[in-house]
Amino acid sequence: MTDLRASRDLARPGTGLGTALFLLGVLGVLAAPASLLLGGSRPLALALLALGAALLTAGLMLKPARRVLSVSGRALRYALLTLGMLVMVFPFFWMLSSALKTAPEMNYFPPSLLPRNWLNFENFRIAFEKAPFARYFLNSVLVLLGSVTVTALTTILAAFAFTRLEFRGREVLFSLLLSMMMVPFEMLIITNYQTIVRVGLYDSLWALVLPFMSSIFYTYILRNFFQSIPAGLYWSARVDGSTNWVYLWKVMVPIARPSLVTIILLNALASWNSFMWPLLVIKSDLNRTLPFGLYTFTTEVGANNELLMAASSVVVLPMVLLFLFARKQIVRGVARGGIKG
Amino acid sequence: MAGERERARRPRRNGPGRVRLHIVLLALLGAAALLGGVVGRRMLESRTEGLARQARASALLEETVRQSVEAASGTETDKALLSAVSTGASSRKRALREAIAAQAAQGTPDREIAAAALGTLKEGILDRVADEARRAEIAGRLDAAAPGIALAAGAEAQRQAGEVNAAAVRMQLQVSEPWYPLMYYYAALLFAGVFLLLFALALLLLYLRGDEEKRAGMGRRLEVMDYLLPFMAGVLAFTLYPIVRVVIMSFQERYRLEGSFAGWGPGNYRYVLEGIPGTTNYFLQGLLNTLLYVLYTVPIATALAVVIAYLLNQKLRFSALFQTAYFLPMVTSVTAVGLVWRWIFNRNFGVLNFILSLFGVGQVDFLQKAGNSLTVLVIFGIWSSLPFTIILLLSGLQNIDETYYTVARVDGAKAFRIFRRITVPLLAPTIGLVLIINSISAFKVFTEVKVLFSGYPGPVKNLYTVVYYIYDMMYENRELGRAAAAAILLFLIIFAFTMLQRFIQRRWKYD
Repeated sequence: MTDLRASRDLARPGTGLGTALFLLGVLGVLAAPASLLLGGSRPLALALLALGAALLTAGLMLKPARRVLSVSGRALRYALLTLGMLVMVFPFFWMLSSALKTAPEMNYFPPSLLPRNWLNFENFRIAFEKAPFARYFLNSVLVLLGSVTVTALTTILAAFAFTRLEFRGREVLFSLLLSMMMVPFEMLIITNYQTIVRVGLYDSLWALVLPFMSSIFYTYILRNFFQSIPAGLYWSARVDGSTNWVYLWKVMVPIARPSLVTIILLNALASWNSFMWPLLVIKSDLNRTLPFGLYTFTTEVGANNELLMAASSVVVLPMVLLFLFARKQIVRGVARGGIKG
Repeated sequence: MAGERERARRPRRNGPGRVRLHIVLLALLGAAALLGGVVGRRMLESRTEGLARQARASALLEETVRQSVEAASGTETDKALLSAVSTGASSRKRALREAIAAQAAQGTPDREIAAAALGTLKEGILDRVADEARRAEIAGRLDAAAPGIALAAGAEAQRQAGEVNAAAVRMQLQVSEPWYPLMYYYAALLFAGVFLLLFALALLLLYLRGDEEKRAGMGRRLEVMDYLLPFMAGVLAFTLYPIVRVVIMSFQERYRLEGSFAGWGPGNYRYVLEGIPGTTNYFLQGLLNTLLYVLYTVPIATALAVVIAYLLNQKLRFSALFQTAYFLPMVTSVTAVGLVWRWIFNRNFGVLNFILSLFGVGQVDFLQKAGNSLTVLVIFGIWSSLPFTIILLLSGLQNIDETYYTVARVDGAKAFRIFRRITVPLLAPTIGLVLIINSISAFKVFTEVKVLFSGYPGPVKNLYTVVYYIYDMMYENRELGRAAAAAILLFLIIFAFTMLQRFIQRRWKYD
């Protein structure tokens, strides 16, 4: 049906010429950067661009077929998205590609897009030898697990108390807590730094877990979800003799699993990527987490960018994998109120 | 019958059992805290005593030596003799130090110690003087002055030992010492212990007096406390206390990490705002840089994100692929990706310089030339804030009712017109929200600078940001008071921004 109409459109005098001119114009515009990339001269590329634009305009004035326009509109959309995608992904591609290059390959100009040997893992080996990245990795994992566990516990308990337990001043207390969220972490850091030093936790992994043990933001998210679970369920369970504790863990938490997963993922991301706080409270090499360890590694290797790229990949890849597996949950969590960081 | 069954089913922990458990736990905890406080106080006292003894002994020694040399010299002018006297006195110093410490440990009165020390010193001095007549003269002078010296030295020792008190010792404790927290926080521990014990006692009394009903009520209230306790402990220690403390600290002039400060007043603010006259004021520089960063990054990122989110929101093949690609920068460490960007921006072999060279632009020194630093930071900032912005806008787009589009399409509206007339106005609240959140997070830019410029605020200290300034003050200079003043100013700016944007947003929504 549509094909018929399209061919009819094409057959109409004028529009056929318009379509042809339009397509030629697109070709010209596309050929311009291609010629540059293939080593053509700049005047030639400019001429191609101008010619393409002129043809395109002429074709549009002659009214190309509607189908061509809608296809080219869709093509344009995909082209734009792909272009943007390339820009967004390029640093990651470049990181991996550079991590697999040899030192001389790094100094090619123009740079080579791909490493010569895709299985050259030498840089990873050297990086792991030059700095205790395995230890950094272990520290990061430990801190992540500790932080996620402690925060999830405090959050679940508090969110439950603020939803179902009744006590005087509950709402006032909660809105006070919410207003505290406005204060940037960069302000709290000053006193927290002093506290950590004072209680003797300086340069220990506990210093990376404890200050984040309760998050008002996560409690807020979870409380919103808990509130959407009907209160009737709670009261009927209570009448049946269930304790709050049993109800919370047997009913509320399983229902709220999507929300909990989101919270845990956001928390894990924040913990893994945090940089400023470890920079302040960690001193010795063996207590560093990955981002901090990577940062100090840069001063050690100086200009050896291939080593840096290998080390960066080690820091980045776990979270990329996590994201590939749990994209929907993470995106949902971020959409709900953003990452606090 | 039925009543009995009810009672049997009633949760055990919610009733009196919970109260009993709490009384025991609180009492144990209180006792532990009290014990910790007492032990800490004891340790501090014994340390103070030791230090005071040392101060006393050294004051006794120094004072006796000084005064006896003075007395022995009298009105002499012979240089050789004077030096003989002083070396003679010094020669016995080491032996005396040990003797005095031993005597002081035995509890001998100061005056006796001083007198004994004088005897030793006299020997030492006379040993060095060869001339018989002079020796007799000096011995006479020393004997005459002896009672006075002993008295004065004793008084001086008392005074110096008195200056060593627990409060002063506490402030000079080294963090690395074992049991440091017990000693430093003994007062807080004592207070907490007493409080917990009193609390347990009050619970016990109420429990004994109350009937079953009352006990159950107590249990319920305690349960609320249990659920909130871990969370509130964290909030109090690491959110509420810091807020209050930072405000106070910002008025403690030159408050330093160790806890010393020069006095109360607005000096920190004055320092932060005025800097050192004649040099660059890094706070104002940082403020300007941060403002520029916000003004460039946020609108550009938001505008790009609106377009991308609009395109992503259409029916799309490979939408999972596109989403993954666009959201990836969000989950990756700024530190690691910052290093990648540094490599991209590399002057000699960077890929960006290659792309620019295709367009005939010569080698650009992105990272080392001061004029380019902000551009580099902004590019990186836009790239890394895009995913988050797109996600928020996408969820805003998905909340727009489908029917608007259907109606518009039926009316024959073109795609761009639909975008301008329906999408953008209905998305306006979301855009406002995104602008707020992005501005606030852009105001806190720090890690990006630290990583891109390898640990320096720009190639020639030209790219301080507000948070970088705070970090420098706090960590490099240990000037917590000044850092606090800067942090409060940052908070005020963010707060004003939030209020302003909310106001605009509200107006926009209701118009």
